[in-house]
Amino acid sequence: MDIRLKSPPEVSVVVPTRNEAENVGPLVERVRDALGATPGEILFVDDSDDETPGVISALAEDDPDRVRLLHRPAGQRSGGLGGAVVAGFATARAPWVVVMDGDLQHPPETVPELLAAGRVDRADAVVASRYRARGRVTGLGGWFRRVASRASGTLAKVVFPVRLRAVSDPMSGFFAVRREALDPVALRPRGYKILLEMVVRGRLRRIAEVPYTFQPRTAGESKASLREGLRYLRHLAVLRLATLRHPGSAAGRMTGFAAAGAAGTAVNSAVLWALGEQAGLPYLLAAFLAVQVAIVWNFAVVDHLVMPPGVHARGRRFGRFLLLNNTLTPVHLGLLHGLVQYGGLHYLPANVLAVVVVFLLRYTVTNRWVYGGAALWPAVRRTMRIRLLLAALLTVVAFPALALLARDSLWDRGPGVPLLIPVAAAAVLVVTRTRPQRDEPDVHDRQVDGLLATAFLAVAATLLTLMPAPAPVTWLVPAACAFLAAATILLLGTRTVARLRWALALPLVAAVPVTGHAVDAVLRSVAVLLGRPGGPARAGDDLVTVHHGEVLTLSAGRLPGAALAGALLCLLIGAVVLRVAPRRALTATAVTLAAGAVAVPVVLLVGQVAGAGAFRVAQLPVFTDVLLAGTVAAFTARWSRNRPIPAPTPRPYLPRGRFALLTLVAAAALLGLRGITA
Amino acid sequence: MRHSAHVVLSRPQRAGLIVALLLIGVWAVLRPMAVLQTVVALVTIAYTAAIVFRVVLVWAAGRGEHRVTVSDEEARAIGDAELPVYTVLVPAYREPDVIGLLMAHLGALEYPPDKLEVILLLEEDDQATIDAAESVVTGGHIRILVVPESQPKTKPKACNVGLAVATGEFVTIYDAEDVPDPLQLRRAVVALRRLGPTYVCLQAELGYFNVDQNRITQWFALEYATWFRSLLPGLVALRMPIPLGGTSNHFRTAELRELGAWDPYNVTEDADLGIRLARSGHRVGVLASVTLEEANSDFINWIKQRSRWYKGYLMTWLVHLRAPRATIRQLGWRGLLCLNLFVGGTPLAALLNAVLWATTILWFLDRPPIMEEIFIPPYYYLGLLCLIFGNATVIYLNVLSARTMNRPDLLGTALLSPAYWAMMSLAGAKAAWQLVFKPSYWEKTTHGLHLPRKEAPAHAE
Repeated sequence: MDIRLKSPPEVSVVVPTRNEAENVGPLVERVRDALGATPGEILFVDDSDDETPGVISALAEDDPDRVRLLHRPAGQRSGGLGGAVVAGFATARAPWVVVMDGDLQHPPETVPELLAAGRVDRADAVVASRYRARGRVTGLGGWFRRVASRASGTLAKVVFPVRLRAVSDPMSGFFAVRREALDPVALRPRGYKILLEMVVRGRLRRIAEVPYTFQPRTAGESKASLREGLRYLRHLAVLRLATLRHPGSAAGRMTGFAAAGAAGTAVNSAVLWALGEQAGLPYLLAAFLAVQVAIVWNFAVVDHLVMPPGVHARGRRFGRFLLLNNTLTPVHLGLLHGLVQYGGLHYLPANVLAVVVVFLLRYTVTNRWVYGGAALWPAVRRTMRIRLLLAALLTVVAFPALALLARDSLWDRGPGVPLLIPVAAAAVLVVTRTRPQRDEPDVHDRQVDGLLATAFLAVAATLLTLMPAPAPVTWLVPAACAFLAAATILLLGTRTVARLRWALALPLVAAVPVTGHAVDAVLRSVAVLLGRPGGPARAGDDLVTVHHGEVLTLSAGRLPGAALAGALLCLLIGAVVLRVAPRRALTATAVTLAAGAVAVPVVLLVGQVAGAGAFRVAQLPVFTDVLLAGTVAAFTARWSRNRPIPAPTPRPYLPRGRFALLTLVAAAALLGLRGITA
Repeated sequence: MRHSAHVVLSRPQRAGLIVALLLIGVWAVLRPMAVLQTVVALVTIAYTAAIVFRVVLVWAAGRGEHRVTVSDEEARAIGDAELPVYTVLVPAYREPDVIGLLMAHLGALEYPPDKLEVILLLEEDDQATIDAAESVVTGGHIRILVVPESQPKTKPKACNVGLAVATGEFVTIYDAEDVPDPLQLRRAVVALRRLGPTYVCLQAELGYFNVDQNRITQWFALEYATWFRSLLPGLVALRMPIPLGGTSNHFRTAELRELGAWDPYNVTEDADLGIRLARSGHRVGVLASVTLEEANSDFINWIKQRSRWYKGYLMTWLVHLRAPRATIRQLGWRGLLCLNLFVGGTPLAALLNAVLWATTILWFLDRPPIMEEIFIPPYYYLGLLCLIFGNATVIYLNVLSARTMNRPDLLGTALLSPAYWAMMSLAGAKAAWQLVFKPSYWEKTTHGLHLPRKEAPAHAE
């Protein structure tokens, strides 16, 4: 017996009491019987003014390991019933806390069932429900109280449909909670319905239920009243408003962000209209200014209402928000320019379209860097990130033709895989593999770095020199990859580059002579099949659709066959590098294929529904390519996340880089100048 | 010491090199095409000779057993009383993790402890290894000798210090991570007594205990198999000098001292010692007994180790070419052939390989017309022959080694050896660079990479 009592309690039964002197004794008796061999404690949080605390103290003296008393004298009873429960949480010692009333309407015999359900379902909380199949409401006197109780429960479920999805009895005062799943500080009890408070504000995720039968009162007084009902309504409203601000779920945040963004788009458009139409500024300048105004507006809305504060101070958040959103401004303006120049749209609708397209990017960036506690590149030395970016930047400087090529391929489908897709996948791979692996020896050699970099630079220069006049991707991309390899080797060391080799070689996919004809044929068949009977038809290798008698042609050259093939190739390489299970790789392939296959009918559908202007925009390769690049990058990121995190090394190696940087800048300038003059 | 790599080039060598470079420079300005053609011709001829030499060695090795074999029974038959005192030198630097294993491996040696003298040679500034050694050294026959701090701080210097206090009739060297055949000392005693006083040294075979750790160790193992099963026996068969391997060479102590022991400035003191043994008329045998080493499993670590070897070979080559007439007189034409094609040829071939491959690739990419001019017909065809048959032959030798190792699963590794050559080229370039700028720098190889990594202390996230 002694051994059992010395073991730490597995459950703390918290019983808030108020003038329940007669019920306390039988309650302790029945809880003790119900728990049996399970070590547990009963913690009374007593707000009584009568002799109840005395009764409990006597019981506690008899069985000090089982019974504890937390008496709150008059004046210290903050939060009423809810406050009592929260105080009980703070005092409880066991991993599971069961809350029940002291009036014996909650049968203690259900406590083991609650605990068992919690363990089996791995839940954060288990609610004892009166409304599950076996549960009965015999204890509530009168039909009015029964209806009122049921209605208040239903009301709560209507107000919180998602959070209370799994809870049939949100009014229940009888439940078990895993203590570590709950942060008592987040709770603001207003004296009533602590379960609702916990589920909504405490953000409990997994909730199970167990049926029980509400018992008739044996003694004491009921405390439910109409006034309590009104307080309940107020509580519900406050809770709802509070949780609308700063939603906890990713979906909620995204919706909020989108709503703020929609309002921001309106602001943006209004400013653009004012500056463009009224003030007569050039539309790109007007758009730039409009974006600045919209960014400030968005920050005000998002920071106050949508995003949780995160780790940074508000001033810092604003700085980051402004900076990050402005780094996306060129993307926005570029897109706008393309839509206006190539798509022939008016700049106001084109602007809205650009806002919508950039939205996802904006959300991701804001979520990660402004409000995220976790950095995108966890625990990687800042210098390392800077050097990686420098290497990429120098490569662009050395190969201006490549940058032009990448830009042009957004508007015009070239012969091969658009560079955008492998570069996006490579970027994700680089980010997830910058930290040293567990089994990597800490052996480095600067001479090896120098020799290898020299060799790679020689390869890059040779390829550039030998390149035939109309510079095709097949020469430019390998040359750029060789330069990138040299730059990263000099700036990060051979070992790091060896770890990143797949990522750095991935852009070569764009140089692989992929002819998408076979894929194009499949895409055509899918488009025709999906569009039956009124949809697109084939005309030779082209696809045609009709809008009010006007024939719109999606030419064979605009089909994303090569892009899709390249995306699949990137996925395959990513799957091999990250050692992804075949099943997951197949899923990714299927999703990417579906994305590619659906893109074509969607473009045609846009034409069929909205006419020639919209069709001209929709058929621009940029949409399909960004979609495919995003899909590939998302899967690569997802796969990387599940890899075991390598042991933290004291300080990842970085070579001295000043001389290397000088050399690289000189080499990049030389190559770049040569590229410009050629 | 006359033949020391303390200076890489002697004064006459330096003068000769400068004059030669000047002459070539002037000639190159006057007749650039002729210079290029000559260089290409010379390189092609040297390259062909090196390949032919290798093939001849393998052919010679295949004609009979040229290793000295001592059976287990013969090795054990000799009574403890008849055994001489044997000194084992174990130089170690910054290897505290490997010391414990070393004790186990030395403990497995079948040799009476009262006749065995093990000297651990540790460096004064390496307190971690000294502490590790002091905590595990048990037997009275194992001594720790801390080498006083002085330049050059190299393995041969430490060995010389150890040799000065050695009391054994025979002496051998093991590296800290070596796993020698337990009967090796007894075999060496029997073999050296059987072969007589002309044989001063026996080189035991080296093999790897971590062959299958990764592709690099597999290549390394194949290479070692070629080296110790074909090339060295070939040299023995053709009575040529043998460049010794870094460990498990068994010497007669007196003769070794007389010869001046190891050159502390040479980073492959063992290869140099092999040549010097040959110059003084002594013979070296290959003992059929295997010492297992740790094959270098990491790319960068491998390059470091290999560049040190290549640098040492180049040094040895240059050192022994200082007095060409004396060298020819002492080594004879066979020795000279070995010195040039084997000691000098191995690193130079590795280095030239990269240049030649780059030239070949460039030719296929662009066909620059200048190449047609540089490669004049007879040498062009010779070069082509090297490209096709030379490479095929070297790959074939690797496949052959997979066969002699009885490891058919290494066939793929053997066929992939061109990638290994690329690594060799890199090491060759590094060796050439260091020979010019840091000749005596000892490129330390990290050991223990085959051991499971110690877990870093877990951090609370």
